Amino acid sequence: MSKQKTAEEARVEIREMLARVDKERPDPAAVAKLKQMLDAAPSLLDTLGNLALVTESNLLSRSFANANSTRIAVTKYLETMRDDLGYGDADPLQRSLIAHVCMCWARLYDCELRYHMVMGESPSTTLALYWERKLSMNQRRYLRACESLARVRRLLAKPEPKPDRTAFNLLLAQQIGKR
Amino acid sequence: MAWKNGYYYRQHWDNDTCTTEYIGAGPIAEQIAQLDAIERQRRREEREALKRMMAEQDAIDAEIDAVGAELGAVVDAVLLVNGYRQHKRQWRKQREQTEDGRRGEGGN
Repeated sequence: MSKQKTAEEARVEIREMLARVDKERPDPAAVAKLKQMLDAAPSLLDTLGNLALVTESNLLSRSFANANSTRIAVTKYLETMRDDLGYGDADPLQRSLIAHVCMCWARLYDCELRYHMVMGESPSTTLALYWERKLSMNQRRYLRACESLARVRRLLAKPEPKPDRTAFNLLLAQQIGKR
Repeated sequence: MAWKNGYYYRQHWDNDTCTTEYIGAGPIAEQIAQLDAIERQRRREEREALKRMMAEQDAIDAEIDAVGAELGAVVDAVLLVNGYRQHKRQWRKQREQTEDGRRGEGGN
């Protein structure tokens, strides 16, 4: 409980710090403090990742309350999806983002099912518009989650070490010298 | 739906105009009134069920959005401490400023 409170406090602090750092010319001291805060709250990312998993579990329980077999199948599929996205080998930030992508996908899938069920029953305009809106909102959210994961992977990827060509160059120089 | 002087009337809206329709009087009108009351009740229950369903769905989305917002804040924080800045909604590597004011390496 106290761990959760600490994570919540850290989130609030990070948001405040972001407002100070996210400027054209941020204060270097504020950037350093933000870095310290992220290092000091390693449980924050895990908490967020777990939160995504808990929300996903809640979502599945509510969406498929009367369809246990579907819930089990979707849960299994989500596990596979997480593995395909590299959940096991990812760092905590990417793990949280992967969990979020999977959760958004599950919600989109749920919305699509409901949308098709509703549309098959000649719904009222209000209901049809409501599900149209929900569906596009969830499609946008899923896309945003994927983009966020892709951005983090692209920007925070460790640069691949350049091959050491010294030996090759020396050999080449010797060959040229021999001629 | 209303009774006036022992006569039963129906009221309904047609293109922003309230129209009153005379139905009748006596036992048949009473039965029609009862059927109308049942229909009204059914529609009310349907509306309430719809509202409940919408509230439940909105709550699920709000929960997911809350997690997304927290994650977004942390992603921003991590990118900022790694030397990225947002320029017109695009994340770019911030070039390091040298002491004499020239831009150093690090831009993309």
